[in-house]
Amino acid sequence: MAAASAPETTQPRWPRWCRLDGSANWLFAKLALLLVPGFVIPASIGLWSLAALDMEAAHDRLTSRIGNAAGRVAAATRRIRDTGIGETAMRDAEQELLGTLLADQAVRCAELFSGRTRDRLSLVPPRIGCTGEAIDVSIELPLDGPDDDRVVVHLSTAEIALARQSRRELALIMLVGGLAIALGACWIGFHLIVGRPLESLLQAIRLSERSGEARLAPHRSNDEIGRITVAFNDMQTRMQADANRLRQAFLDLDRIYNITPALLCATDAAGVVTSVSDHWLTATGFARDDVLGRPLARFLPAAAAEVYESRVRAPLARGEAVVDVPLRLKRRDGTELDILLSGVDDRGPAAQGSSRLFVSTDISDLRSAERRLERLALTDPLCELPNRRGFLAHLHASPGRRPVGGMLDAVLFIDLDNFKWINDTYGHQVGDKLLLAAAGRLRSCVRPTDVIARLGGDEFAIICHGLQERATATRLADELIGRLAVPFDLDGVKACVSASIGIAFTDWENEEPDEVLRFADLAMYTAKQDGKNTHVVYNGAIGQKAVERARVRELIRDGLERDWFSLVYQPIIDARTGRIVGIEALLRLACPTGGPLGPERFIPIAEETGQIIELGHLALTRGVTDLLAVGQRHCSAGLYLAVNLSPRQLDDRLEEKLDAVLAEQPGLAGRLVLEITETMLLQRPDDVARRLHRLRDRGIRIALDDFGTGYSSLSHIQHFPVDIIKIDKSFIRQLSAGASSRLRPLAMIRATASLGQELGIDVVAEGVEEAATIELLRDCGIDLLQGYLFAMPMDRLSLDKWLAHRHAAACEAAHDPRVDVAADWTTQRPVLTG
Amino acid sequence: MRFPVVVAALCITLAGGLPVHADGAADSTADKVRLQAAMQRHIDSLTIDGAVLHLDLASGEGIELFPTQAHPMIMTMGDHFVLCAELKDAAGRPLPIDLYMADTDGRFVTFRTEIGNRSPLQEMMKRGQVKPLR
Repeated sequence: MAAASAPETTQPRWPRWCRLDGSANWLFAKLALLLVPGFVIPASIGLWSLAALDMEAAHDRLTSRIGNAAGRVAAATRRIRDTGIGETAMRDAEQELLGTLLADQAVRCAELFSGRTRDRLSLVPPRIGCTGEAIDVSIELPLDGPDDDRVVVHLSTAEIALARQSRRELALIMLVGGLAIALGACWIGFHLIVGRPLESLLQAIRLSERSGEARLAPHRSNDEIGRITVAFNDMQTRMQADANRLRQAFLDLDRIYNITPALLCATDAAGVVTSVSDHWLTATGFARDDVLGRPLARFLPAAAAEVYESRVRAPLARGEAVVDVPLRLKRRDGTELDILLSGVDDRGPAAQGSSRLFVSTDISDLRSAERRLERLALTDPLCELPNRRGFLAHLHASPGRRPVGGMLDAVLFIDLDNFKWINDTYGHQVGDKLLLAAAGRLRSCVRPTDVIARLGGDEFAIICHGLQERATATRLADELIGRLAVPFDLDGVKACVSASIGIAFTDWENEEPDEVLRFADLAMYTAKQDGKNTHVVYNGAIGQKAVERARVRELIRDGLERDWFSLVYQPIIDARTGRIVGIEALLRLACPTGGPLGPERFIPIAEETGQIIELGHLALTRGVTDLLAVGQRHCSAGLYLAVNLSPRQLDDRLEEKLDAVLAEQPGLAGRLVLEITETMLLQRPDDVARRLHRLRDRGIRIALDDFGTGYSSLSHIQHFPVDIIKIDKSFIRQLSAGASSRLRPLAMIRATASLGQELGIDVVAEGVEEAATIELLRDCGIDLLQGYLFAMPMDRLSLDKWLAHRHAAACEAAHDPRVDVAADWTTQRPVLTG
Repeated sequence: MRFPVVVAALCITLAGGLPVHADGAADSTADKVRLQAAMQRHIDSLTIDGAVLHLDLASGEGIELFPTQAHPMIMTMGDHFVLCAELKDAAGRPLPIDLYMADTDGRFVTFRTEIGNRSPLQEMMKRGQVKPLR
């Protein structure tokens, strides 16, 4: 029910010619209130003054007329008395003279009295006198005679009163008429001079108020009202000009607002949209009427609406600006676009309450590109699997899906064995195909919820969520190994690989994702060391080994920096003559705080880390120096120096190093022996063969170390430039056993020695520790001997003394071939040093 | 000054300034009549065969003057009165006559008469010594 409207005020209906406005009539009323007394007072005073003068003149005329007449009558009466006529005639004459006074209507009656007797001598009108007449004034006039007679004239001043009355009436008529005329003239003048211009002005003001546009009032005069009208018109003109400028500015602003290539909108404090730009509508597909008056949050997805409330509306309510808040905006067709929203709270003085202005930038394309880049950054482009970053991201997300009820997550770290060989052999294209095929096989083995990633190279990883038992992961590892072991047919190339898998379990209670992956990696490394093609579950021991490896790696690094490495030398003896033909340099690490560290502990790690190259250079440089020093002092110019060579050392840098050494000592090449293992020959055999040949071309001899323990193959001796074969000490130690037990080693030693003799290759028996074995070895045809029986590895100083002791005589009889080696070395075991 | 105050002041002035009839004028009627009568009797006493003889000091001739009209206005000069009338010579030329009167025991006596000489009266009027009798 609508509220009752306010009662309308009833305005008096004025004729049009005089209707201006209630206020204008009041204006004239006020003027009249000033005009009426202002007119009446001076008019009344003037009229009264004129009337007073007129009445005075009338009074004077009356008194003059009566006085003159009475004076002449009195004079005439006196003269009659002086004539001396009879009494009766005199009375008649006096009567007639008095009667002349009655000619004046003001004279009512007249009497003549005797001065002596006080009797009335005459009376006019006769007999009635002043009976019934209104007498206002009686005047007594002496006749100036001896009898002192006197005339008394009774008169009425009614004519003066009458004149006064008429004057009053006339004055009133003049006053009222004058007032009416003045008021009428004033009203007409007011209407013409003030009312009509004011009405025009009011009409212009009202029209301007209704239309909002400037309206000029007609200008008719140059008086104050005219000047007001002119001032009003000037003001209207200026306001019109200002309004035009404002309108133009608004149009410009509106145009800029709409063509600005950003999504602009404004809301009130409650978040209701009050305006949007055309670009906003174009981007979202909504019509303006669909948006205005509705909450902005309505056009945001649910998640974005929460962000909008917390990160946009709340700060704006506190008066803080909002800059580049990422949100999503719904389009009319249901799709969404990504925006960066910035907003300010407008609390300007002109604002009707608070309003919020928002600028949004459509970053959908940017977001898409960002997502593509992110996908690329997290995805291996070859296999289209998550890469290491992507896998780590999955791992980081795993704790959020932490399983319950004792379930575990397992990370499998898979490395393809021999992939490098295939890649190097058949090229990268085949390698890539192999990786793709391997990834496919991995996919076929896992659950949809498991995540497979290619960490790089031939490394893959799988995260299995929610495992009930550990055996599930190990079974999966076995299955993977089995699947990968099936040969791959890569466009005609049959490739066989195996897989080494490390498994790490976690319940995410204590482990970080990166750590779990590292555990799996360590386990995989252990699997590699265990012979590959197997899986290893991570445990604490593996971790400890890794820690130990890291410690040794640090020791190697510190040892290189601080010169903790030293060389010890073990002599090599001619089995026939007992002479010392060479020395093998062996590297030792002595940490000042941790004590000595055997080569079996640091060499493998140095090979892993590549530090072996620097160690090899160290051994070569220092060994050559010591060899030269020893040879000069003890007539050992013919001794050769054997230095162990790691597979990783066999590269261009080694050749450069040797060239540098040989440049300084040109005759040294024939005294250098580089000892390699058979394992080296398995890796990059062609490259190794080429490099060994180049070394041999320089005069350097090659020794095949630990022969018989690895992949011993006669083809190695055939294809590689081998000058010396060093039979592994495990064969030599077996010679100490019973006669039946040493048949096989003896046969192998004899065969090797025979092979050496046939091919011109020297054969060295390592690990000779008993004198009894010397004869056996010599009988087998062994040329050279090496072992603790002759000398323990010793440092340079000890070697110096040992050589001084052993070869003093040899220098004097350098060519005496008859030396009882066994007797000699049995009785003179050297003192072990270093 | 506020408008109502102005209007009120004007109204009060209007009320207070309205003309009031003065009845006191009637009291002087008798005196004026007696003064006019006294002037008439004095002029009458001056006439010889109806004419007032007047000696023209400039020409040294006696001139007959005839009373024609008495002026209604009476003026006072302290305790004395001045009345005027008009005389005409034979040629009809007017000549004023001013009578100076005094009230002596209820009778008005003319103590000075000026014929054709109004300058004394005009001098006294300039000095404010003479004013109309109300």
